Amino acid sequence: MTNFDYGLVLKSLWPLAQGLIFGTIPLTLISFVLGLIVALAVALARLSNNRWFELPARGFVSIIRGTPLLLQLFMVFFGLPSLGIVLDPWPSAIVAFSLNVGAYASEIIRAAIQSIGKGQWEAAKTIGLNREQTLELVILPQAARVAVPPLGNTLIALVKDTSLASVVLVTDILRKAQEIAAPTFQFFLLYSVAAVYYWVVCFFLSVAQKRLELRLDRWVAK
Amino acid sequence: MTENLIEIRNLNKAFDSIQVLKDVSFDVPKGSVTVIIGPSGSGKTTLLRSINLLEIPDSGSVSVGASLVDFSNKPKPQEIAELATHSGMVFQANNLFPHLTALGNITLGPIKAQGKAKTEADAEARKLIEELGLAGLELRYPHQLSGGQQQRVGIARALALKPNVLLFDEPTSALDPELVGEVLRSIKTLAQFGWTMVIVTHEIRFAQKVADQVIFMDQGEVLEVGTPSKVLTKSTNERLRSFLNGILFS
Repeated sequence: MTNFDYGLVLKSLWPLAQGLIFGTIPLTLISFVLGLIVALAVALARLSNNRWFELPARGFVSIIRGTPLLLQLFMVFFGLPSLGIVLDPWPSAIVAFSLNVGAYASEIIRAAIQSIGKGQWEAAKTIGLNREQTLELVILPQAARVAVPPLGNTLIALVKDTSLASVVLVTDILRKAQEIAAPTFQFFLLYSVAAVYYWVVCFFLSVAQKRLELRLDRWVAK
Repeated sequence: MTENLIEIRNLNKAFDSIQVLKDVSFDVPKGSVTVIIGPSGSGKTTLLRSINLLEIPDSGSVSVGASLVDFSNKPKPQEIAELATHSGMVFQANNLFPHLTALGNITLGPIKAQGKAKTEADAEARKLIEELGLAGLELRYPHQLSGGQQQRVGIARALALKPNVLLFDEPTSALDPELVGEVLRSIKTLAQFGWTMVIVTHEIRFAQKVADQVIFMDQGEVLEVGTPSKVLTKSTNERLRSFLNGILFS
């Protein structure tokens, strides 16, 4: 049994918070926003009647969902240099996480769009809206309400998945914890502090999701 | 003779192997009310939806106002959009946009499709809201309105685009019986204002009072066309008689 060095916990609070604030959180947010853009594009491609959009989109989703996230991260960071593409840790992580989120969220967005009845498309057509306007003004606002809970899930999963970035040298909270724990062997304490930080972030995200749902609920019949 | 606003010629439409429109032709004079009746599955809704090209017929032609689309060749999307601008549609299930207020529903088309200024569109919408007896409800969301009020918002949404013709697809079929009257009264008022309308309905008494022309369809064919008295009381067509008996004495 190791002796627990509780003083180290106090001393680690700020460095770990830095890992969270300058590593985990921005990595999560940037990847999530880019991922949503990828997801919307992939969802629309999958819903289009054009095979040249639909098939590549389907292939992309299949490959991303059929391979481990860690492998995808390694592919970008360690694999792409063989093709002459060398990315730093941060861009590597952002590319891998954005594509991964993009594939999973595209299925959520596709299902949400398809959950809006045909009558809404028809009504929009009869008041002269074209396809793009109908999507933007009629379908997506309603699909958003449907997509928020599962997208909340995706975001919360991503917060924790970004910990994988520590293995490609991104200084996130987990890497900070490792750096402090290694010379002192206080792994249990440092990982516990990191765990609490993760949990707090996810707790607040859940609260934010609930509030967003309530806001979008104002036009839904109770 | 008044000029025809709508001319339907030899329309045919099949879904898979089922022929839902069989060589349908008729005219709708400007400013008149046409009521289409017939048993369910007779093709009346498909016919109505062919007038604004929510359904694309397999052959024949549809002309509304100055636009004509002939289906012997595959129509271009612009042709379809062009023809569709002439009609406004009121749906059985109202199909209001649930995320927009009554006012938002009514002004969406004028602002986004016709490029009207918001203030102008709002003012016109408020006038329609007033005329349809919906004053005070402009900022309610559809789920905060009764079925009859929702349907009248649907009518206002169609009217806001100032179409040449209004199409109604069973506008009262999804309503509670006590709400049917208010919607029919609104439609009757529009008839008095001279709107050209084509209405699919099972309200035979309403047809008798308001229609200039009644069309009876069965199994994809137009079997009778004429004034309400000719079609609803004097016709000797066997299928029409049994249809009317079924409805009036149910």
